[in-house]
Amino acid sequence: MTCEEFQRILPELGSGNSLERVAHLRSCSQCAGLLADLNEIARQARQLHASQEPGARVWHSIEAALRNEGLVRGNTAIKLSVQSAHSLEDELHLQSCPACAGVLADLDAISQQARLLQGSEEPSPRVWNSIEIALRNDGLIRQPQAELPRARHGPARWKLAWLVPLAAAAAVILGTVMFQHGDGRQRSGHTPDLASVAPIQVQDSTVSPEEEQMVRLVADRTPALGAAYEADLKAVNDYIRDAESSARSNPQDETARQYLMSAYEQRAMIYEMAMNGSLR
Amino acid sequence: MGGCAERATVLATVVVLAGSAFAADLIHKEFHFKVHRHSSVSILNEYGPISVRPVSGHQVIVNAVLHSSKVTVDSSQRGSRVEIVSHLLPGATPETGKVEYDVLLPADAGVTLDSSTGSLYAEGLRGDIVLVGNTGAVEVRDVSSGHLHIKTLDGSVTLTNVTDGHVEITSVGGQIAMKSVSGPLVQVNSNKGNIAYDGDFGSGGQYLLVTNSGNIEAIAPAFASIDVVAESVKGKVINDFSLQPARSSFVERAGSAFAGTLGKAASSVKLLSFSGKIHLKKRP
Repeated sequence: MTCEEFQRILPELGSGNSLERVAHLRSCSQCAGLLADLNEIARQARQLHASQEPGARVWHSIEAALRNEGLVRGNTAIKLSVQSAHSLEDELHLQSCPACAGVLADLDAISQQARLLQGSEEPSPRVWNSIEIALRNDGLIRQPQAELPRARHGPARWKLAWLVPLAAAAAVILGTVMFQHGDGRQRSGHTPDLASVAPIQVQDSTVSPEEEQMVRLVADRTPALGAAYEADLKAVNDYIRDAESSARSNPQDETARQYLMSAYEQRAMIYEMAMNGSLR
Repeated sequence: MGGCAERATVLATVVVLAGSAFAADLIHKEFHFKVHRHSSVSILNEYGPISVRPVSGHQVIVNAVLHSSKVTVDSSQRGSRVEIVSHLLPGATPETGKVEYDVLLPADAGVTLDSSTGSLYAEGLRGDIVLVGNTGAVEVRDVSSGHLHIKTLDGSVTLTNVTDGHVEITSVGGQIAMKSVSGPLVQVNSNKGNIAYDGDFGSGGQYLLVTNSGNIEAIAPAFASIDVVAESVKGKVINDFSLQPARSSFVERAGSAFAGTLGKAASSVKLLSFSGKIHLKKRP
């Protein structure tokens, strides 16, 4: 079996591996790595809530952010085969079910983005952890859910289910970009629409439970640094609160927005430094 | 593997002089690497200072002083990319895990230094420099042409004679002092720390100094050529210059915001402090 043949059947690997496939995996580190990556992404995807599926605007932002960061060049693609053909039965269902059609449209968009990714740019474990903390802190994800039994999905659904991990991958990349660089809108030159930003739930001089956990990680490694991280997180959260209040009062004030962006950059830096240290 | 072949093409001589150097518990190690132009050197040190300075020739010389056997130094080279990592062994503490690095490298090398608690020092380089520290002080002197990115938690940042590169500093609580710093982009983002700038703001640069509660003091000569905006939401602003009125729609607020130009306004300068004081001083 060649790499090309193996990657063509990647979407079906959830239904079991043949001896031929196993043999190929043992002899080809590239495909083995690809499969491991997809399994990891699938694991992450199962923790996502269906209602948190990003919309088309998000994918455009991802693409813009990735291009802005130089992570995507041209049409460079990882060698994933996207099963774009649907059976007649599938097509009929899609025509009669707006929900599934919507899911498919989103997944197609995801697969478009996924093709642009390069295998070598797979985020490191520290990035995954950082993203998780950032997303939890912003209330975008909650405690991990129990794995959904696959048997609930019919065969037709399973054909598309393999794309879900790509949704997770794309979401993670979005989180990475936003997390590592504060807010993607800053870098892309867009003006934040402050009127539409939900109020940030930051109380006076407090850190969130997730941030406390992060501080503990730091303190476990270097006790003297724990207090410094906690104090600085409080200071930055206060800064964000003040800056946001100012920006809301003066939505057209460029300086007010500058303070807010600076505050978010500081928080992103603290997260990054904490996680980099804890994963050494 | 390609990496092995690549490694084989590079002459890397590692000389390890293990043994007592300065005291009974200290271990001195020295690493030599031959590199090409524009090499990249990365040093990750959990505890302890890192100092880098230029040396002639295409070589990187790493002198490391280990404070105990609870820490080792891992080195690797791929082409002209050299990585040095302090590897902590079980039971290592900030004291026993400490390593002091003194590194000599080509002036055109790109450098990344990362230390949790130690100070970082870079001098006389022309390549890009990335310095990341938590509480240790960061000092950079006499660098040009390359980009300089610094991140610290509470460590102070001191830059002297830095020119012709992008300078980006983010620090939560560190005091930031810049003397004779100029370039196309100079950005400082601080929370609690004061920002001090002493220089002429060069020509054609964009300077953005932002702090939350810290004070900003910018000292410039009378011949400086700047288009300046200074604004504090809750603090005071003081201006020693006689500025030409700003052409923009900026609204001056006596005592809390001013704007104007000096000379030909070659560089753009923004001084922003949310609640601290801002003082644009004329150099005597």
